[in-house]
Amino acid sequence: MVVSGSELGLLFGLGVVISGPIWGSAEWGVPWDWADLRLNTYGLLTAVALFLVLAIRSQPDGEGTRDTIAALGLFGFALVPITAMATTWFQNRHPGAVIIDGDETGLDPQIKTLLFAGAFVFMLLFCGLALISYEIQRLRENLNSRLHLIDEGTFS
Amino acid sequence: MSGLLYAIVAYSLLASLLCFYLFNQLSTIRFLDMEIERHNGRNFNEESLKEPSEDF
Repeated sequence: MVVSGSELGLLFGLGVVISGPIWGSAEWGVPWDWADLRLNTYGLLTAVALFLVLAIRSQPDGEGTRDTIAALGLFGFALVPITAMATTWFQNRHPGAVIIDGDETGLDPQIKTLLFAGAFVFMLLFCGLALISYEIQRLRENLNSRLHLIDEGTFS
Repeated sequence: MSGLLYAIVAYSLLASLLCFYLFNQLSTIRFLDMEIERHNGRNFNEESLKEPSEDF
């Protein structure tokens, strides 16, 4: 679960961090704004996912490694609501919540349909990739258990 | 026109990233499948029971 979650978090995070500045250059005139809370907390969240993926792949499995990964994972978990609420608290570059219909907010029905369709498709993509990642973990555990049996000389 | 160019660049990068990740994941599945097959019980025992060759 941690491996799949961190890998997919990194993939989708990189997708935003790569395409966001390109969009920002076109729309805002600057690719990145260090004063915008949403941008920076999201960048930090992606960095946490990158750390988790690299740590899981490079460090030997042990109590210390698991504790470090769990602590960073909790930090990332705490960052999620901060990132989500960032545009409500501070509106430097990103606008506040616009989906909810209000006096000064709300979206055109066509844009709203497109937005929800896009979100649905990305959810499907996420589920498909999570299944692939889960299958890899299953195969890896299968292989490790076989190698373990070979080491013990009890393979039959 | 400039906006279209930005969009093409951004979506190309995103598609490349996704393709790279998918290719990597599917290659890993194929590799693990082959390794499991290689370490399959019967094949392993036959290999392990072979006498060392004279050259060895």
